[in-house]
Parts: sequence; C-alpha cells; structure tokens
Amino acid sequence: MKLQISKSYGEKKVFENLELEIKEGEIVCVLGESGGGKTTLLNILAGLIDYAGERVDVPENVGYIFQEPRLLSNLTVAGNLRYVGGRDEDIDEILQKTEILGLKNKRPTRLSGGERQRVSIARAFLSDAPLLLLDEPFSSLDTALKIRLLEVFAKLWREKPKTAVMVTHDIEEACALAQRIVVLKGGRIVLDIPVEGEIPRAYGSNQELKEKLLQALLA
Amino acid sequence: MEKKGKKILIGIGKGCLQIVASFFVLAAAWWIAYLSAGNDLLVPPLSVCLKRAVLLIGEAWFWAGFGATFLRVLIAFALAFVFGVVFAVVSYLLPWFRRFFSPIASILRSLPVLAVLLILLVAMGTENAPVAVAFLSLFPMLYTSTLTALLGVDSQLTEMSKVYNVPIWKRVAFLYLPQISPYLIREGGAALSFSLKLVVSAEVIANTYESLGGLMQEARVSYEMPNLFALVILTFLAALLLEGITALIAAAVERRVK
Amino acid sequence: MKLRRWIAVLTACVTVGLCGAAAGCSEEVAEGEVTVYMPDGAPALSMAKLMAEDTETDGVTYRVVGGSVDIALKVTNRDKEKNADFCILPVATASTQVDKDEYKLVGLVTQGNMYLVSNKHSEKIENLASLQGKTVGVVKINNVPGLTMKAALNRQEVAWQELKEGISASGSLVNLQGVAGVDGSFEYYLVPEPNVSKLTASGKFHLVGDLQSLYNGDSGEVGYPQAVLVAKTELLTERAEWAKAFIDKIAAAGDWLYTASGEEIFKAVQSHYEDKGVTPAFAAENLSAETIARCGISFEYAKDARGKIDGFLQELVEIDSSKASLISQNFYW
Repeated sequence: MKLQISKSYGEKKVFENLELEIKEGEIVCVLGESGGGKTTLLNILAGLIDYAGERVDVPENVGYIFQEPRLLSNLTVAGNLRYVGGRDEDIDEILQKTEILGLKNKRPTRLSGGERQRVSIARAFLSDAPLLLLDEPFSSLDTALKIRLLEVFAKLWREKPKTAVMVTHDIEEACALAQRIVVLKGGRIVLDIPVEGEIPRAYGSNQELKEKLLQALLA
Repeated sequence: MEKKGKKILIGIGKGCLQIVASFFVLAAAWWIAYLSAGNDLLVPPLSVCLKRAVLLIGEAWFWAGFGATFLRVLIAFALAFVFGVVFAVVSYLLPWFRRFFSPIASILRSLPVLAVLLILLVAMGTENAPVAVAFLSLFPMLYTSTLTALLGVDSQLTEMSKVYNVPIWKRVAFLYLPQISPYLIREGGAALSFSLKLVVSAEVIANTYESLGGLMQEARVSYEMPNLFALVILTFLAALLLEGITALIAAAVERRVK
Repeated sequence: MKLRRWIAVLTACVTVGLCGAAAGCSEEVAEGEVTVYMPDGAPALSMAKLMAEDTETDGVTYRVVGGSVDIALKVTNRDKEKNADFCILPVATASTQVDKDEYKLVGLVTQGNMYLVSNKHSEKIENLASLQGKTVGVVKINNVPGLTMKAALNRQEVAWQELKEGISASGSLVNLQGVAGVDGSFEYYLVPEPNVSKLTASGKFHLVGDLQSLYNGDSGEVGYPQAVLVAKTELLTERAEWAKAFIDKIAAAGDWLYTASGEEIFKAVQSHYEDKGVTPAFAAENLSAETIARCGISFEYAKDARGKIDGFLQELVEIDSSKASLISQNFYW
C-alpha cells in the first residue's frame, strides 16, 4: 500500500506530502518523538481522520492494538471478542494462542494490565483484517511483560503474516519487532532502514542499529 | 458467612434507626410549626393528619384521584423521555442539530411552566394541561441528561468500535446502553418524582376533577386542612417511593455493567 | 457522608419549623387595638371610608387579606387573643368556621355582586331558565360563587348539572363548568365585581346578567346574603356603646364610595393590605359609580336580616352540607 498525505491541525502542519510505501505482510515500525504525528499516521490508515492526498491499496478492515486495551468492562473477555464479530470456535483458538483461555469468562476489571493487552492482541488477530495497526501497545508495561507480549505477537504473526504498522518512541521495541524502521521527525521521514533477523529479536541486541536510530532521532 | 449475615443485619438496623430518627426530628419540626401557627386551619396536629392519611388509603375516591394523577404523571414522563432521548440521540449524531436545538432547550428550561399553565388551560383543558406542563419541564431536563450521558460515553471505546466496524445495534446494546443506563435511570427517577410534583401543582391550579391536586384544592376550600395535609403527606411518600425504586434499579444496573 | 446527612435533615427541620413559625407571624398589632379584618374586593370597599379616616390614635387597626381561606384564619386561632375583633367573611364561612360563643353575627355587609358575562352573546338574560342548554364557566365553583349560582338555580327551579369527567353538556340543563379563569371559551361566565368591570373595560366581554335579580326572579327583590360582619362577644358586652357606634359607622360607610374618587378609595384599601405583595382585587380606574353600585354593598343589621340569612344558609346546606351550616338564633346580635 502507498501513502502520499498531508495533514494539518489548524495552523500546525503535521505532514506535508509524506510518502510511504509498505509491502504486503511487512512489519513497519514508525519511530519518532512524542507529538511527531505517529498516531495521526495510524488514524489516517484506520480511516478515522481525514487528510489531504491519497492512499492506495489501504484495506478497509484493520485490526488495531491501542495503547490502552479499550475493552468493554460490562462484557467478559469472550464477550469483548464476540463484540468485534468473533465466532465462538475462533475465540477459543485465539485465546489459547495468547495463553489466556482460562480468563475467557472474566471481566476486564478482574485482569491485570498485561492480560488486558493480550485480549487486545487477540482481538486484533481475531478480526482477520489484512492490516494491523499498533499504537505504542507495550508502552505502559514493564520490560519483562513487554518481552512476553512481543513474543505472543510475533508467534501470532508468524502463523498468519499480515501487514503491520507499529508506532513507538521506544527504540528497543522497534528493533525487537520491525522488519523495517522509519524514523519520523518534523513531519518528514529522516531515516528508512530495513532490519534483518527473525522476530522477536532479543532485547538489548543490535547496538549499531540503535545508535543509527538514536542519531536520526536526535539530529 | 455468619460474619456477612451479621454485617447485613447491622446495616439494616442502622438504616432503620436513621429513618426513625429522621421521623422524630421531622415530627418535632411539625410540632414547632403547629405551636407557632396556633391555628388548626394553618397547621393541624400531625397525629390528626397521619390518621387521616391512613383513612384516605381506604377510600375509593382517593385512589380514583391518585390513579388519574399517576396516569398523567406516567404519560408526561413517557412522552418527555421518548422525545428527550430521540432529540438527544439526533443531537449526539448531528453536531449542527445540537447547535440549532441548544437555544430552544434553554428557552424551554427557563419557561415559568405554572404561568404557561394558564395559557395551556385554554387550549387543552383541565385534564391535559397538567400533562403538558409536566412535559414542558421534563423534556429539556431529560434531553440534557441523555445528551450529557451520550457525550460522556468513553470516546476511546467508540473509536475502537468504529475501527472494528462493529454494527450499530451492537454498539447500542453493548456500549452505549450499559454506559448511559445507570445515569439515565437515576435521572429518570428524579424526573418521575419531579413529574408527580409538577402534575399535582398544575392540578391544584387547574382544579382538575378526580385528581390529587383537585382533591387538595377541594380540601382547602372546604377548610378540611387535615385532609389537605394528609394528601400532601401521601403525595410526598409516593414521590419518595418512586425515587427509591429507581435508585435501587439504577444501583442494580450499575452493579451489572461494572 | 453520615454527618452530611444529619446536617441535611436538621437543616430541613429547622426550615420547616421556621416556616411554621413564620406562618404564625403577622404584622404586629399594638396591644389594646381593636382589629378589623376583611377580604379584598367588595367587603374591603364597604370599609374603605373607615380605612381612609384611619389614624394611628383611633385605637382601630384595619387589615385586608387575600381570600376567603385567609380570612377564616383570622377567626380560628387557638389563642383567642389573636383572633380578629371584627371580621367580614362569607356567610357560608361564618356559618361553619366561626365559634358561635366567641362571636356574634352583627350585620349583613354585602348582598350579592355576581354577574354573568359573555364574549359570545350580548342579549340580556331575563331569567335563569334561558341558560338551559348553555354552559356557564364558574371560577371557584366549589366556593361562594358556585354555591350561589346553584342556590339561585334551585330557587328558580331551573335544572342544572355540574360538568365533570364523564358528564357532557346537556341541551335541557344549565351546565356549570368549574374554570380556573375567564378565557372566553365558554358561552357565559359568572364573575364577581369588581372583576366584571375589568372584563367589560377590555371591550371583549359584555355584562349580560345580574345574579342578584335572577336569584329573586319575579319577586322584585334584589340580592342575597353574601358577606357578613361578626364581632367578638366580649367586645360587644364590655364595650357595648363603643361597639354600637362603630357598627353604625360601618353601616353608614357605603355612601362615601359615591363621593370619593377611585384613587382615594384604592389608596385607602391598598394601604391596609396585610400582605403588601398581594395583587389588588380592583384597580383605581375601574371604580366608577356603576361598578360600586354593582358591588352590592348594603349594610343590614343582623336582627333585620335574620330571616334572609337563615333562608340562604338553608339553600346552601341543601347543595353542600360541608360548605355551610344552619346557625342558631343565639349567634345573632
């Protein structure tokens, strides 16, 4: 899919003729500082906000893993998955894969932060949408939990590779999960770099890449 | 288990004690008023009024009046609720309509409804004018409550529903209704109780036949002050009961959705 | 939360108590003063001369109150000291509410001020039978106006019915409809003076019937007992001479209304309102000689009006025994 977009909020320009091309099945990580337009980019892909320019071959159906789990507290875990159209047999399967089958009949208020985010990941993969959007999904979690959820995500993705666009300000996350990292700064792409290796990559590895990314962010 | 049971009993006991204490304090206040007024036509003795209230409960004509008034209350409330919710939903979905209707809602809220009653009596008669008066008061109230509740629905959840293309009926059933219903039920209870007071007040002015207000007016004109006070006490208890029941329903719904 | 709840309950109780206390309060009357209370409207007009001549040193305090229920409060206090020394009130109210030992009925003050008006018809009504098939709107149908109209219809043997839910207007009866106000939607309305003058002054309504004549039919007599003057027995006994002189002054006060200006009369009454916020029953500009004549102010001593009052009360009792009762002869002064 291809994007050539501009977006302003009043006087403030977020992007001007930003061009981005993403291959099918690719995991692209958009790295940038806070307020840099990362979430705006995701919301344009999701069709939630309008923009100037064009999007080519962007699917209508998306799965979205938000920064907060965004679960309905009046429904159980299974109920939340049914809410987005999941069928019972598929629900059990995805809960099994995300290792939370035992929490199926619990309400989100009874779950920990990590468990709630697993439900959110399950929901995104359950929807069978060809495009996954991830908006700093692991930012509120501690490192150990983050690594576990990265593994869960990677496992699911390997079973059914989908195009994924993840935005984060965390270099470690980007290096762990992305097949391609795009650094966004001042509304422009300042670095676009492929990343080798099977996901999820070990936390703390690939120092050279991290330095390059850091330089691009700080420049 | 035993401990839990004990706790519940203590809670009920405390509640009863509070009610009894409140009653005694109110009775003391009535006694002060009775002594100060010094005139049974102004403030009759509480015991006489309470006895009369008990007697009234056994009278068919009281229930005829109460039933007719209650029917007016329900009609006014139902109409106000339906219109309030419909207009609120439209306002929620269409920001331009919200801007257009907002000044109209303000005007309706500021209307001196009992004064408007005198005009409505000409157009609608003594039976329907109280319904119209209550409707005019309740509609802007329920419109505002419903709209506030809708605007208060978690925008992150509405966004998630939009992203996942959740059908409208599911959003209404699983997102909107659970979020707004406890609040709406509470506001609805208050509105219902308010409707009772409005309808009765309008009936007093209109002297509506076979109504609580009409009975109050008749009691006043016949100098039957114990009857008048008894009717007021019974109306007050009915309003309290309505509020209590709706508060219980709201609490039950809230427990279910949380 | 508990403390807040108790504070709320206490505040409510104090408010109720204060309201009751406030209800019992009225403007202080100096000790030793003779108090005279009357409702607004024709009864107040009957005392206007005395109120115009009222001085702070004459030993009499005059007070005008809003309505018939309010006036009853002036004679029913448990503390008898607080009760009015003289009080003008509707004859029906006097028969049911006044303590017959504490008070005596000293005279008839007004003898009818009800009229039929219409914005749909202008022909004069010569007899009550001509109202058959028509609907008459009556403000306060359960009180003096309604009772009087019904008494008049019964006296003239004209069949009537009161319209309520389930009862529709009949072509062979006089249909009486209780109304909150005169809005012109019915064919006729029964209205007391001075309200009649207000309505006819607007040009929209015509005065078409005089209930005072219609009540008496072809007998040639005019009027019926409407408002009476009661006085404390103690005052009539201990200050008999002064009380007689005062009553004579009241009896003679009516003529002054035809010589004084509307403004003078209005000022005399309005300056004696107990509640300064009450809307006056009449306006200065409506107090023409014609209007005053229609108010039915005509004093008759109790001993002369006894038969008339007894007869009228009998008629009212037959209509609604909760609104009027017969009085013993001991009650007359």
